[in-house]
Amino acid sequence: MSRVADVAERAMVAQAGTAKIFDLKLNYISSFEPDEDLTVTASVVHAGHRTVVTECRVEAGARLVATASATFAVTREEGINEGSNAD
Amino acid sequence: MTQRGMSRKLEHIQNFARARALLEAPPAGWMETLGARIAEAEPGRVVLELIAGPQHRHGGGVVQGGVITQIADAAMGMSLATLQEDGTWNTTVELKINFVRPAIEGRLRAVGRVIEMRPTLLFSEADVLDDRDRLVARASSTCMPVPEGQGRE
Repeated sequence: MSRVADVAERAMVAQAGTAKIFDLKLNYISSFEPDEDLTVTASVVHAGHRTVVTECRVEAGARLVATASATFAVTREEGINEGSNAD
Repeated sequence: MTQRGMSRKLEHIQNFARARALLEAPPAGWMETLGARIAEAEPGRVVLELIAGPQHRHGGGVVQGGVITQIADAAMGMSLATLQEDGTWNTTVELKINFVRPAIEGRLRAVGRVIEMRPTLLFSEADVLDDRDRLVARASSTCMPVPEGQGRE
């Protein structure tokens, strides 16, 4: 079941960039078959100085399979302009 | 175990045979893929183990959260199943996990335990510990009873 979590998290990390996940909440809505294609759509809800909050939907065609939300702690990389991401 | 926990446990069937079967079954399906195994199983408590290696890490060099979530989810679901009768199993409807510290390598243990069994909803928690018994993650989940063979891992 948590293959969904895996896919969802990867998609969310891709959106959030350099950040450490520290909280993940999943709702499993319906099952899906091994050969079905899943579409995982992640979006950033909040990108602050210290935290990033993201949401995600996992769909098999028109059917909602799972939803997720995650909180990330922002970790700064060298060379990133600290002032460019004000809350 | 607390007095309260004990009385809750006794209200339900303790499926010793299922706990034993879980323990004896060779890893298959996703468990084989991930390299996880069931290390301990008794009614109300199941422990999954995984030796974390490069195949479990993401680009940041730490064990990917979905891997940790998977063993926690399975430990919770299986702990519930050991308090369910033959012919019924459970499926996760909701799961929340906090990642407390990163894991890089070594043995990870997901200790799943039953919190409460209600007729339509089952509640459980899991701690994921590293090889020094430090807390890596804590999860809680809500599951739903289903006929055995449906919605199984």
